[in-house]
Amino acid sequence: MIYIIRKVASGLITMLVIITITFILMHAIPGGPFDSERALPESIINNLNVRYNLDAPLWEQYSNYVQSVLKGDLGPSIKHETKTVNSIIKEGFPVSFLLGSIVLLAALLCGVMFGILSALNKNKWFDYGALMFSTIGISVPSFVLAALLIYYFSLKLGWFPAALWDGWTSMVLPVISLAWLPAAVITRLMRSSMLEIMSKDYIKAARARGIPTKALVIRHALPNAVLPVITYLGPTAAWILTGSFVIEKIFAIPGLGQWFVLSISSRDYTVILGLTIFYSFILIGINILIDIVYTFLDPRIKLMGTGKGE
Amino acid sequence: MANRSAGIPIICLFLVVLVIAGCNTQEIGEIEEQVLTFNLSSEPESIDPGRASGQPDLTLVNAVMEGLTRYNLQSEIEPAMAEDWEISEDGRLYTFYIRDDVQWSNGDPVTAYDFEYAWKRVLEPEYASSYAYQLYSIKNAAAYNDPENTEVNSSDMVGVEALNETVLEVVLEAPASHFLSLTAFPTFFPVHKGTAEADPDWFTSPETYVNNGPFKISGWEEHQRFICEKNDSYWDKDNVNLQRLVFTLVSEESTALAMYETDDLDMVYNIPAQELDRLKADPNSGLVIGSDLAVAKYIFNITEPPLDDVKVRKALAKSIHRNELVEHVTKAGEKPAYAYVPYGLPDINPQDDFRKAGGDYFKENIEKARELLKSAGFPEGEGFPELELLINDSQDNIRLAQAVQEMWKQNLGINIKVRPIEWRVYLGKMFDMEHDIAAAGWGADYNDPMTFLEFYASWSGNNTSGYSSDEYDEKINLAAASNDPEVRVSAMHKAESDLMEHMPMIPVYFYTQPYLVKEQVTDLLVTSFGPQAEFKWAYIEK
Amino acid sequence: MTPALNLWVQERVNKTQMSNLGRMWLRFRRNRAALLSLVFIIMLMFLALAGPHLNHWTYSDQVLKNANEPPGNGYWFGTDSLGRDLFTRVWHGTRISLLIGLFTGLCSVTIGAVYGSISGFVGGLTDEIMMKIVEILYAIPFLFYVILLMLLLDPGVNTIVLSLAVVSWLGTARIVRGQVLKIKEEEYILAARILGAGKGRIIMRHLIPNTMGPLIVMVTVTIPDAIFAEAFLSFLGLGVSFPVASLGYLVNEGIQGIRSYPWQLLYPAVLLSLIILAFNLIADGLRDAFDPKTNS
Repeated sequence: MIYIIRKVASGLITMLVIITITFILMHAIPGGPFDSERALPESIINNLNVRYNLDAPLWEQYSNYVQSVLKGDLGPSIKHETKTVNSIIKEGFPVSFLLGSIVLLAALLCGVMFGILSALNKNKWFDYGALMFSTIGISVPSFVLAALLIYYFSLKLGWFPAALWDGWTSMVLPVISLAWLPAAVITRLMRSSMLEIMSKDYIKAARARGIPTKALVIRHALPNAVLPVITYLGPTAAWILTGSFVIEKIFAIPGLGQWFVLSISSRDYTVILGLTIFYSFILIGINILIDIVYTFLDPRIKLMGTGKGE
Repeated sequence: MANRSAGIPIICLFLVVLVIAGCNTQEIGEIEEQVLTFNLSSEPESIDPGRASGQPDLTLVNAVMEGLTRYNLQSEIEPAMAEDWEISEDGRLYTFYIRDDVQWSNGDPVTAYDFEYAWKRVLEPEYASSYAYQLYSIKNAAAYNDPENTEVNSSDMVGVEALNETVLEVVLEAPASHFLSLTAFPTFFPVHKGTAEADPDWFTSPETYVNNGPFKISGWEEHQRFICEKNDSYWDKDNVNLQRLVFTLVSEESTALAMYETDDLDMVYNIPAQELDRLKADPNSGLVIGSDLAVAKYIFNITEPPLDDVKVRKALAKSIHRNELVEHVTKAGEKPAYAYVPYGLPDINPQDDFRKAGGDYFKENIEKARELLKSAGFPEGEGFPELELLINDSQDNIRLAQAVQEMWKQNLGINIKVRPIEWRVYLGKMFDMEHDIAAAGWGADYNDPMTFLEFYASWSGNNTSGYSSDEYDEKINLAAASNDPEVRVSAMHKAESDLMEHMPMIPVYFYTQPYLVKEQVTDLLVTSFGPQAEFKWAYIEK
Repeated sequence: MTPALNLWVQERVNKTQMSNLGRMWLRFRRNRAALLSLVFIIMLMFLALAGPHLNHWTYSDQVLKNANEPPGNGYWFGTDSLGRDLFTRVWHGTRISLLIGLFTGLCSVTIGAVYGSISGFVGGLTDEIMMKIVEILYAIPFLFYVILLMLLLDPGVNTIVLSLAVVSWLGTARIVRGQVLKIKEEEYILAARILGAGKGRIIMRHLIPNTMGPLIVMVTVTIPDAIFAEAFLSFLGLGVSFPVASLGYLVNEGIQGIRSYPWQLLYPAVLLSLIILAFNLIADGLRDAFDPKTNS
């Protein structure tokens, strides 16, 4: 319990530091939200700055911002009249989260399955097939994959829509493009840790006792072999759940990812800050969660007190 | 025990989330016949007419709202909310008569008061509209919009007044021949006074959005689409044929193209140049090369050597093979530019073309260019400093700049460094005149050569070349102040001639607007400024 | 992208143990895939140097009339959209990508190694603060910062290397610190201390040589990551190292014409994939070589 509280407290400090760094960096970049190719009369720029309180000294903007963040208000979008940062997150995150969840699930299922089967069939055709699969995943950038998928499955075959977010058919292509890399990594992680564990004495002993392979794998090998996968999932999950902006842009998915890049290129200060905070929040949260899961899974780490770890 | 089950809750959590989220995905209803799907590319920043500024904003607002006037299918101004108008002798007093059968989507009549309210609202300093300057031709508008100007501190002094429900009187600072086309621009659209006063956020959801145009917003899928239905309370609804108009927000060009080819879109803009050859070869692709009112140019910074020497500038201008560029690089049927003002703008007789009347001002001539460079002190490009060509980092800009860079290298023996930078950094550098050469485009704001020529007046904030000439300013002033087409147009021709003589920038080509539109889409007007397209009269042919 | 691969990297490096470099090389040689990859990369480096000079085109020579020519007709890989020889450009791009990868790898590992060993060696409060900083940086949205950095600095290879290095040294720092903590307690270090060796000498003589193994693996792993990340930045219009083009940029250009001119995507994409794959296999091989346990 104390462990968790300490983690959370240090997470909060981290957030404050992140807000500060982002705030400084963001204002150091040339260009402001109201720049346009048409030179605007000075009075109009002034009016806009007054409206969004950008005429105040930076430290004042900063302290105002931190105060409003503490109240849970991330402020209005400077560029998008109809939106606040809260509303952007509220609209975009569920979409990114849904996409990310499917991607993670797909990657986890494929990866763990392929990994185990590869390990059990070491140096047989299945192993080589899985190697091919993971090779492509690791070496082909997802935006290339996405372009090829759209070309074949939307244009040539007409099986799936090329873009937008309308029901499950529109999810297939983006999920494949995003899930391939993590699935490939998990396959390889799983394969090597399975091989390691299957050669351990206690497994060998169990096998000698005549326990069938299936039960052996599920009951004894898997829980231990999956540890490195869990470690890997942490940052990957945070990254995928908050949206991969390249894939969201290509498939015109209305998630948070698109806003990341859009807000930077339009110098939408409040959105930049708000999304950074949100992202870090998720990242820190997931890390804490992973730590906890890890302690459950690995009896050797006993930060959670006694008892459950066998 | 714990060992076995720990992974399962995570998976269950995901499954639950999947199920919950899966329920939320919206399905579009059954496709009716008169439906048009148009890609708006990016999310509109505001659909409050007073603050609408980007092209997506203008396109959407123009479809659901209406001003005093509107462009018709022949690209001429025709009466819209105003049934008729009078213009005084000196061209400064406009009296508009609003139709008496026009109403807002909430049933209230559209009145002259709504216009007065809307225009003054745009000019309020606290409202801070970035397009407020569109209204600056109205008397005292600029002064009222500037809070530092204390002489004009009340909206009553602004030259717009509703005399009664149907009569709107507008006084201008100076005669402006294009004022009637301005009133067709979204910043001049009315807003429903009662709604806007009661709820400052009225434009943020389809339920509270009160409009008066041919369509009304019925659905709003965040960051994905806007769905509009025909507006049955629109005064001219008999001429509106589309039942539904869907705007999608797909920003990736190649994805939008794929959607068009799978029949998910009826019309797309911004076609990647690399796809144009294939589309041109296919007679069924639906490719149209629309005309545009815009010029691609390279702006010099003429305050620093060696570009302060007009001979150097002319040498650079004469050594670009414009025909090769438009044929092999841009590929969309652009016209090479040997003058500044594009084709398609009116001359003295509005039927004539300003560009055709003006003709070309210079020619490509490599020999001559080398001579010029030599006489400027750089024989064979020797000793020529490495200048920087600043460009915005879009893919097609980068290709074009590389082609020109290589032409200058081959033809003049000089090295230019091409520097692509992010859009806003680029803008900052250009406006601070930190460029040597900057690639830029300029499109018309209204249907008059002045929209291009005033760019190089010494007082113009857009003039980032350092060019400043009393003679040129005089001609611009003359054209701006006069109400007589002959005086105006001939002054503008002379101004353009001045400009080409001094060459503070070199014109490269005149843009076109290539777009794809399905064969069955009829009477869809593609516009050259403001909104991307006019949907009022469009219909789907069976 | 990088965060996705990062942890995998750590996992691999964690298994690495200090070991005799010579013995390691013997073991590495036995791994055929890794050895083959190493030969492949060396061959690529050679081609990246020589390739652009194998025909009479330079990477910027353009003949607009010959734009988008398919392979053949004097252009071995065809031409790009401005009529430039794709063969020359692809090899030149390989050179740029390898440079970005190598420099980013070296920079990030150097920073990480120095930071990690100081933190681990000095220990105490310094260690705690230094590791807290790493933890904070870990929670920062990576690509977000790269983009901000790229906007702040002038574009070019240097900027890309710097931006990528700035965000990718964290893993190394943690691992090196862990190694140092372990080594610090070894008997021979204690012996050296007792004999009065200075801190600098201990770091130089004992700590750094003994962490070499993991560091080499770390470099090998950072290289493909950097190349990969640069390709993504290219896609966002930020990775451009203009006027020359990296493989990532060429791939991105190729995607534009995927429908009409597939070879413009094919060559750079295949090459990019092979490079990334090869570095990954080498890293695997090195890891196995350092770790006698998995060497079955």
